[in-house]
Amino acid sequence: MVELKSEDKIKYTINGPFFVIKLDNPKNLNAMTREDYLYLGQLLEKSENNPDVYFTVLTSTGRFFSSGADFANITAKNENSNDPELTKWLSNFVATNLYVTDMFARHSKVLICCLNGPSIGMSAAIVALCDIVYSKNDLVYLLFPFASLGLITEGATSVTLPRKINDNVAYEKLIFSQPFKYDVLKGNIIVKNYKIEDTDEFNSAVLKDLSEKIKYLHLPSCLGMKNLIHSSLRDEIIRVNSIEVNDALKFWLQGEPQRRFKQLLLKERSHKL
Amino acid sequence: MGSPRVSYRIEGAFFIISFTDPRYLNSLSFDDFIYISELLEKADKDDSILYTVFQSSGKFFSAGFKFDSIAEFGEIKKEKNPLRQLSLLFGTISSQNVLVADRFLKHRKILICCLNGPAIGLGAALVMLCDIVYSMTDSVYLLFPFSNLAFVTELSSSITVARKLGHSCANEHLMFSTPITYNELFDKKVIVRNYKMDDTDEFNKKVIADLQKQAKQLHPDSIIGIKNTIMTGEYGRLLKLSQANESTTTFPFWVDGHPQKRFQQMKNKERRHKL
Repeated sequence: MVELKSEDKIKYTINGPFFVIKLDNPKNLNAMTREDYLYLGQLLEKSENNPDVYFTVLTSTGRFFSSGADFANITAKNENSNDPELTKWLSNFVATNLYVTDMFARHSKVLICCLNGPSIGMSAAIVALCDIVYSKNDLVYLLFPFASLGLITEGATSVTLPRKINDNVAYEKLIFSQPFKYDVLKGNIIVKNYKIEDTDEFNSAVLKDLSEKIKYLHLPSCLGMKNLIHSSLRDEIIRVNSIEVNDALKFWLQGEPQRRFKQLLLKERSHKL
Repeated sequence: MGSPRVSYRIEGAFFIISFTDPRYLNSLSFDDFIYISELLEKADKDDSILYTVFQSSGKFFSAGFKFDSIAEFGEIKKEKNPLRQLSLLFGTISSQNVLVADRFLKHRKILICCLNGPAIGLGAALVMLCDIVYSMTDSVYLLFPFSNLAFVTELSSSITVARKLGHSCANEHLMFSTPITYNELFDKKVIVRNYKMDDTDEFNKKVIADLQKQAKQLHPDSIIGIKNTIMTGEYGRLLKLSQANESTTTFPFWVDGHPQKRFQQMKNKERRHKL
């Protein structure tokens, strides 16, 4: 199998004030390698540094928004490296997660997610890091299978989920690796359900609505308000992000996640849905 | 050490604390709460335990403070040395907020409540401190009658109720001592599942059986690790702050003696909870 480059799997376009990122690897359910997550972080930085951009819009393709970490990639990273374990997981896990989560937390543009389907793991954490989420239909869900993968909460989900949804629900779903389905997400994370079948149509409908909505707005006001609303959540995410990754490092050093990712790859284990 | 009203048992990864006094609707004394906090400590230190589960018996989860315990204040009043009297009163009143609330806050295991029926006062505060709540029926409710009893929010309820129900609803229920109904608890997702059962013992057994099923294949350290990261967030810090705030705010009310009088009136049936 030819290894695709991140640039081939994640595209972007700039359309007026919108910086539109598109996960474009539907055949693989938009699973992401470490490099893909890093590339996503770099695209956020690109959007951040463009003074004409006010909104960063995440879109995807096909059935899944993103099925999360690419199992094959993790297993390959584990088996094809002679680095000491600490070095290996500092670079493959700690640095990547810290960087990507931090890029989202500190992003000053309004983050909008067009949720076309299910999202899992770190990719689901990214959905929860967005300021506004629109869903394609009521079949979308977010799954954080950390407890069944031998990991702990990552991507600041220990902050975003209790805060945006509710403490008790967050505990139940996180502890038992249960999906957060549409009925739990609506009103808390998802602000509107488009009830559309086709992903491309859904993405265009959202972008069309957004262009309509901002017509008479003073866009710097939008960024000013985001900054004010986001300030306490941002501080909390930045603080907890480093605790999450460093706590999780112990799990990688013990080898439990690697074992369980490999079982997923060999189909000896499946996500609980 | 023990209490006729509270017992515990261990089933695998579950440390189950049961209220066993259905005749008196599982009302609890100050000492019972201290005992509960000791049991939390015991569960926390046991490495094989991942979940601490509260269960009750009969119709009520807990009717809250045991009116008979009001006699303790008579004993404190007999103390001749006013400074010593103040110190005894502070020890009694602040114990829930400082010792009990702190042991809930620091508890590393997942706190699960099997809510078989209504919970009142400190009993309701305990429900709100749990991480996951399952209800037996839709006739459960929580009542925080602190304004009716002439003191203020205790056992971190100033934080838990506001955080889990939203500020406006929390203010309404706490200011006016109005019950929080099943519908509101379910809509706000404090209760994550209603079992729709009649019998408390069967309900308790079913919840444990379901939990055992759900817990299969999970990595034990992940469970403790996830809770730990969640608690390092804002919620944990607010709970910590509430301990000092609530203790110092409630204390002058007890020094004035209004709560003691009103508990006496409740005991004599001259005053009732607003339901």
